[in-house]
Amino acid sequence: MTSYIVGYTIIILIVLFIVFCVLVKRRVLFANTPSMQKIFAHPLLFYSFRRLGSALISLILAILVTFFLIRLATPADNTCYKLFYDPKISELVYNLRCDNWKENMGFSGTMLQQLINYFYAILPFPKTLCVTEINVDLGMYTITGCRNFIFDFGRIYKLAGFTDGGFVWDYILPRMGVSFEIGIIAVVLELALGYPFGILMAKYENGWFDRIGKAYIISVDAIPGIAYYYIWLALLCSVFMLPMTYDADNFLSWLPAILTMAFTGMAGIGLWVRRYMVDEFNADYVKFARSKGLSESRILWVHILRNAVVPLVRTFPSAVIGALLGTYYLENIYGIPGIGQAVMVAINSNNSSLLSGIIIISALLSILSYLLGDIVTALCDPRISFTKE
Amino acid sequence: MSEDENKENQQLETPVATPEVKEAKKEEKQQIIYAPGRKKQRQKKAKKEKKIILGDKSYTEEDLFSTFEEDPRMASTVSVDSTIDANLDDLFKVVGTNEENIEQLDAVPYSYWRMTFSYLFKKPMAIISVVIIVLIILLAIFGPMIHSYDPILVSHGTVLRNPDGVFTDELVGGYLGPNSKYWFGLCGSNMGTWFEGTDMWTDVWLGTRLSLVLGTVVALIEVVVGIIIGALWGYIRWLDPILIEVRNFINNIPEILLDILLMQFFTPYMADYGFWIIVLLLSMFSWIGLAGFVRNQIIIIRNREYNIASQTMGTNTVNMITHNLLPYLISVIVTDISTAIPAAISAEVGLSFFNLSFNIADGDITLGQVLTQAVNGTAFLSHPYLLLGPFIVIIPLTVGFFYLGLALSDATDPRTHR
Amino acid sequence: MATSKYRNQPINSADLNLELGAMTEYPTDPNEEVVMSIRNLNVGFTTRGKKTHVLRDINLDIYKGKTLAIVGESGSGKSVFTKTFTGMLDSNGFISSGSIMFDGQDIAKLTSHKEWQPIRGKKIATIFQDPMTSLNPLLTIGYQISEVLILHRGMSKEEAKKEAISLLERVKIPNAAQRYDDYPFQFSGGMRQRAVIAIALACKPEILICDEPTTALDVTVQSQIIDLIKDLQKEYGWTTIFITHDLGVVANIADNVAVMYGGQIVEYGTIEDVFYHPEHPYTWALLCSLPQLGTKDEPLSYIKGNPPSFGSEIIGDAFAPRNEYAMNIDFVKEPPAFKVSETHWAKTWLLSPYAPKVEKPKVIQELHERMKIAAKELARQEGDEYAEETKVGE
Repeated sequence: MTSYIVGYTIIILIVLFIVFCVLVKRRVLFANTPSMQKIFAHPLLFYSFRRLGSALISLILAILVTFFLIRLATPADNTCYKLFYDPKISELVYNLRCDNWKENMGFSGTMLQQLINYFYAILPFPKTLCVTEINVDLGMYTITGCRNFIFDFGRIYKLAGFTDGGFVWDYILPRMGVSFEIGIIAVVLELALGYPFGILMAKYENGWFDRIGKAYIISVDAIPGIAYYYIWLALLCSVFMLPMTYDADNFLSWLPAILTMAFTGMAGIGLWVRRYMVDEFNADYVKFARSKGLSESRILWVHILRNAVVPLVRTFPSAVIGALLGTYYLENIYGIPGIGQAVMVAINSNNSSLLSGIIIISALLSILSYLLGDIVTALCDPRISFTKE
Repeated sequence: MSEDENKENQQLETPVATPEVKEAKKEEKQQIIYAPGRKKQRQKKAKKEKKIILGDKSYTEEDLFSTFEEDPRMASTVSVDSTIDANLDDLFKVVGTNEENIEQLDAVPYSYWRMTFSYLFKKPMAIISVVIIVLIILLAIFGPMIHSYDPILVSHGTVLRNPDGVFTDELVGGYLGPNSKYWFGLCGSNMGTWFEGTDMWTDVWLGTRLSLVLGTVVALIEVVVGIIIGALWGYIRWLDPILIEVRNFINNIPEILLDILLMQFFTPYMADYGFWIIVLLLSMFSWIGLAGFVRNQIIIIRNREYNIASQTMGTNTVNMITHNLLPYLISVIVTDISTAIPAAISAEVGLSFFNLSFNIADGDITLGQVLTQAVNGTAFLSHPYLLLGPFIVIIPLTVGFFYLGLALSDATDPRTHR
Repeated sequence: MATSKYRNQPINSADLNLELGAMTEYPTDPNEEVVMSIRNLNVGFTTRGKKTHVLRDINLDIYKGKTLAIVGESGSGKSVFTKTFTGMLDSNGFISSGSIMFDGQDIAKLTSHKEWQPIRGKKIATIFQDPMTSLNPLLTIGYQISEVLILHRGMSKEEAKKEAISLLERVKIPNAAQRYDDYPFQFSGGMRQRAVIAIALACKPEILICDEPTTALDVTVQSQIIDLIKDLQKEYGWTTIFITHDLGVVANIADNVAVMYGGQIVEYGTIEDVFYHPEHPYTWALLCSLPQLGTKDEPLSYIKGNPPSFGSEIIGDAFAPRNEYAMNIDFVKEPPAFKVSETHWAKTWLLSPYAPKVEKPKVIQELHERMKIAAKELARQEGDEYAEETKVGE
């Protein structure tokens, strides 16, 4: 009960704040107090609001598309049949199970009701969900274990190693953790490798390192991912004798996936770093700095790098948040129990809710990282806060 | 003249390449330059000869030597790199300027496509890429015919099963490495029942056929749809916010997940419309890049000040856009197609990894299928030859197209032309 | 017909030049101290395998404490000229011959950036045309001044900050202490150029090169910047090399003038020499084209044609095709320098004793009177503008 109150209060407060800011900006409130105008009508604040609004529209669009595709691709009755049909059980039990399933998954009622329920489930309102078990003997439901959730992505059924009717959220969360563990190390590594890679390529432009580097980047870009990952697998596991399957306790077994991700990501980062740095090499302020008598290395590290990095900073949040989402191919190749593998699992076990949950989470996270990217750029570039209007 | 005669005689007598003969041949070569059709070399030679412009005529040193009587203004013979035979009064006569000569501009004739192709074919990587692509296409067409064993069963690549479908003894589990008979080896038991025992060479080339066709079709659709939508996007203002939201959507949702959902819907139709369904999946999102680019270009053109001025004088907007945009667009199209084909092939490989691609049992195989089946399980670690066939085709093909695309984008950019 | 003496002599022979009246060596003013001495400088560029010569046969002395103005059209080579002093030629540029003696060494021989470091900034400072792009947009102005102070004068961070603020005050930027932490985009165009000047004088250089510093600014700001440079020069006693295409600015600031055309210095002298007794037809044409010197009923004169492109080789005088006073010899033989006075020389065949006397253009003959009229008009305009400015209260 308390979580409901807390949750709804927070939401109402946020809405009120937005309304307040808009009113201040339109000079309905505090029209004559310049300090209030400065704080609450600040251009950066409104820029963020605008971005949030557009992000929300994207999210709603994503939710709608997923909703209709799920219902189109896997009609409820067919899936029900695939999951629960067993000639051994009675029709009554089958119907009970089916209805239970439909209700939990949001398939019951008319399309409009389903849509509203779906939105209610996905948008961050606090809600209480319970696991229902079918008591075959009594022919009715028993409710066990209710918990409060912010997001309701549905339930999972008939999945080996997971309670029947368990929550998608419970299934996804630990997997996100595993994906993140591996992903974040890979992100740090690819940044640590990619930047020097790009800087060296730019510094010795058209030298041998640059040419080799460019060939490497092209090979990463052009070759299909699978082929590329298997080449790395052959290299790392046959030549360097790293283990081929993931084992949570053995860090060595984490390495193939991490290294592959790092070397693949390094190419993209190196390309952009090189591009931006080479653009800066011909800038006028570089010539002026040189005529001031600054040494070449100082010009490179203090002046050029700073200017080249600013447009790149935007990608940091999406790289970090992307680590939460894992990669589909690598996790399946190395057997890592992350979200990528969950996708395969979802396909093979006919659990469309799992799939839609993953889609929604991907959309949410990617929108979030886009917003954060904007904020990070504004923080790093002194020109932006002031010229936004 | 006698000198030349001597040289000719020497040529007849001693066919050996003495220095004199060499010189004579050189002179001969230079003479040939004056034949009609060798205009460029003639121009180059004229430039080398340092013509002097005096008034409205231009003279070489020879001319000046011989015409000093004819031209009253220049009553002296002047040789640029040798001697001066001066008549001081005439040398120091004030002659002033000539209207025509002043406004002469030093422009070099420029042909866009000629510069593009000359730039392109100077790069060794571009030439190698073209050669590789052509080679692979030829092998895709003729490969299975070169080396298949049962012409009737070519479409399935089935080679080694006896008519009753039993393996002979020597092929345990179907694994046989490359040898003189089966150049890429035989497919093993890890590749499923359809592939097991088939000749990898045939399979790979059949797969290449379908992959290439798929890639080209997707690339063409992407380009056409991209340009049309991009043009509408730029031209019709109320479409702008809608398509921007669509673009955000495409960028935020991972394509593979939507493909999974869609395939669940399309599975029953795969047998009849398989090709077009896969085409749809692959081209569903890829046009947004080109569309966005075209839209940006149209907006830039629309906003250019000279165009606003021109519009106030009554130029039709559509004419303005086609006149300014089309020449630029052709280079973009060419580059886009060359990078879209490997992208489509790679995307198809990704689809087949998730078993979303064509149904093998129907007989449609693509490179993605071959590769995915080859790496099924751990068999490929002990039988690495399984990867040989697919890799030999996929890697040069995709890298070649990609390189070609990059080289084309450089070559068609007018800024690199001079 | 004096022909027999000159038969069969190589066209580029120096003897022939001397015969025709060229001067033997470039005059140096004995009263002044020479800070930099340039002899026979030739600078070329390699484009696509072809070598083109952009600067040819430059001979110049730069005197301490004086201002040298270099005038020329775009493409005459003036920027390349000053880039050579600081080793900032593009990577495909090279000095093919000649020497630049500065501070006891021949800096034409220096090649790497490392060798140039002790000279750039510390001894020779440069101000470029566009102040917006000259400053790094992501670093504060104060930082950009301080780093020069810390590097070249070995100050600590606090000392550098204090000195930087005093420099900003010296160049008349208001609220210097707050402005220290501001970014370049928060400054206006004129203030940015002042900040750039502050950076340049931070290391107290011997020579200050100004590469068209006022071209990108408004006219009112222009005169302020020029006055600032003049003040600073009087106070610090450095030598200024000022590049411009605007003769009005030259009249305001220069002690010596070098007129450049086609990669060569075609006339050099003190400001009185060049403005009141110009000898080269190009200088005549430049002065004639000043609208301030025209009278009401005269058509506005201009120089027809285009400056030479450096792609093709130039035979004879580069200015000959556009020269109203061109002679036949201008088309075949490059004119050497002819002496006019101890401080004044020009490269034109008109100064040869064999050349006919030509009548200078009307404007040049009446130059004195016209200049007086123009000066009066300018003072009147400035008076009006000043009145307006003080009203707005900048």
